[in-house]
This record gives sequence, C-alpha cells and structure tokens, in this order.
Amino acid sequence: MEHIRRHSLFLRWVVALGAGLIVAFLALIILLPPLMEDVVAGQFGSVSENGVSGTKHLMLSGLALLAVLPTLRALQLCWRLFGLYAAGEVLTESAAATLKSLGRSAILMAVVSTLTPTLVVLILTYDNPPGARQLTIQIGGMAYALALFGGLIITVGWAMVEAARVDADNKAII
Amino acid sequence: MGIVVTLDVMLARRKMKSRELAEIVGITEQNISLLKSGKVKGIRFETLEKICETLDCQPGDILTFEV
Repeated sequence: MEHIRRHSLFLRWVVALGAGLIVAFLALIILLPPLMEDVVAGQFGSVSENGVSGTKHLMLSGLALLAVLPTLRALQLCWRLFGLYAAGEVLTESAAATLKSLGRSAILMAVVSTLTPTLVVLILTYDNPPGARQLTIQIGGMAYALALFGGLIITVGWAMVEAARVDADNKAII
Repeated sequence: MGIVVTLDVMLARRKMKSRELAEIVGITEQNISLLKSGKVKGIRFETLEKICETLDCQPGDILTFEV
C-alpha cells in the first residue's frame, strides 16, 4: 500500500506539471500570433495564402482552447485518481468511477485529435482562392491507440467497481 | 429471524469480557461488538475456530438458527 501512496504522490506532481505546461503553451500561442504561425506552419506547411492573423488567429485560438479541454479534463481526473490512491482509497466506488471517466476522456481525446487537423486546415484555407482551399482527414495510429486505451481504461474501471464491491463484502466478514 | 449470534450469552457464561476475547482471537473489539449485534455478513472459519477454542464451546453454542 505504501508504494501505491508514494507512486501516486509522485505522479500527481507529474500531472500538475503537465497541466501547467499545456496551459502555458496554450497561452503563449494565443498571445503571440507569430508563434502560432510557426507552430501551424511546422505541422501543416504553408497552406494558408494569407497568413495566420486577425479572424483566423481568433478562430484557431478558439479551436485550440476547445481541443485542449479533453486533455485538461483527463489530467484533472488523473490528479483526482492519484489523490484517492494516495489517500489509500484504492478499491472504492469513487476511484472506479474516476477511472471510467478517465477512459471516456481518452476516447474524447482520440476523437478531438482526429477532428482538429481537419478544422485547422479548413480555417487556414477558407479564404484561399477557389482551387486552393483544402479539406484534409487525418486518421492516425495514435488516435486509434488512444481510443483503444480509453476503452481499456473503461473496462478496467468496471472491473474495479466489481473489486470494490467484493472488498466491501470482505470487510463485512470478520 | 435467520442466524442469531449468541456470543454474548457464551461470554457471560465464561465470565469473559469482549476486550479479552478480541485480544486472544486477534480481531478488534469493534468487530466482536459487530458480531454480537449480528451486524456482519459472515464469519471466517478461522475466526470461528479461535472463538470456539477460547470459549471452549461448539459453533452451535454461539450461532443458532431461528425461524
């Protein structure tokens, strides 16, 4: 039990660090349009003929905010789960429920990571001249792995519900 | 009624206190209290064996079935 507590406390800080870095990076690309332009160019090339400024920057900022929400939610759930484990609540209903929510968040992250590139390219090229507008659909192994991982975590969550029930039963037997 | 725990009767017969039994059996006094009040789902054979050994009785002396 002690190693679960120590490991969870350590991972809690890793999660907090990750969340802080994500929020800081998001703030930087929203506040610094040239940085966003560099990031977008690095990932999608120079698909926009009119650059990334004004309305496009606003739309991409909004999209970035929306796209990062499932990740932040997943990190918040990890923070809560590791907090429960650190408090010794391993086989409990609330830990199992948090695990299931984490699995759902991972599936949502997979969906968002598939849709985001399509929307980014749509925003970048909507004001291009006819013939230069683009629509891309990107389905990667990473999104598949993330969705599979989410499904696995949900299944483990259900198993933990059962384990919590058995543990409660055992506690009532002296 | 179902299974009725008569451990308190046996404890009184043997003039033994719950705390003393708990110490010998190796479970908490709170668990002995829960057992006496019948607020448990079950009892392990291991615990039952130690209680019977300590009180020098049979399982039927502390557990009875009532309709």
